[in-house]
Amino acid sequence: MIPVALASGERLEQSDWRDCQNCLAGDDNACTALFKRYERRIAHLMWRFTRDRDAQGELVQEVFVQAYLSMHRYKPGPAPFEHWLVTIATRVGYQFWKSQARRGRMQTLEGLDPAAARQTDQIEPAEAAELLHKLLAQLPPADRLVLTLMYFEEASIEEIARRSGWNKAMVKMRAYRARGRLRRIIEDRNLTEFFTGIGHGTA
Amino acid sequence: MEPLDAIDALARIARTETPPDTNVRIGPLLRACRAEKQWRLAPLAWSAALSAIAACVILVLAIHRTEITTVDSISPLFSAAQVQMP
Repeated sequence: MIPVALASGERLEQSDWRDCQNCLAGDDNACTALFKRYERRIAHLMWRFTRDRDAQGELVQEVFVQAYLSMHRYKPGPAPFEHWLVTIATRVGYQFWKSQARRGRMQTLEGLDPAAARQTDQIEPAEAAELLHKLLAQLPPADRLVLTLMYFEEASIEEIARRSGWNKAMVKMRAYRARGRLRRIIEDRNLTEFFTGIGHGTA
Repeated sequence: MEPLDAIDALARIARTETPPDTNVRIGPLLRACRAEKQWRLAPLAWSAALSAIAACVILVLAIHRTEITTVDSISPLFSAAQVQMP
């Protein structure tokens, strides 16, 4: 992460650490400053876990609650506060998917009409993200997490391993298996034409 | 284009999406955090208190039992039994 100089000339890591200490000591202003500094980053990450605005807001709150409750365990080191917070956010999002899967709340791929496939330069980013989100939602939560971080966040294997708590070999294996599953889902539901059409533009 | 290549292309576009921001109210959140912390600590406090009470009760019973089973406390009975023996 590139160190960001704050107005006072203080480095971001120092400022985070100071705010953590003050937050733990009961200073609400320090907590607010700390959480507000990262709210945008966390909100954008949680949008990868849900496309529902209300659920996104609840997930962001849950991340901050978890961060507050385990803040005494945060130690400044080679990993900045943002990495620590993003790891918590990733796990909160993963738990959210797991609870949805337990309740059987799966998104369907209804409405994907092969005739609607277009050239990639004709697809809006939000539409592409919605489509990818729906497709990845067909996978089990662990596979979905690996591919979501790979596709949406461009996370490396090391990064995914750090954020998920799995080892690198497991992440590699999951990524390989998840892509295989994705291909089978596309083939089984006769969506090959749709997805091949996206690139060539059959419309 | 292969389906997985198409998904890679789709992902490149999806990454350029600007996700919506949120506006979390930190004040109520902090109150909720503190309540959650207390709620998590409450069972521990209750457990510690009940353990302490149980330990006191056991200690009191043990002392009481020790008192009635000392030689001094049973010696009069023992003496009386001896007296009644033929």
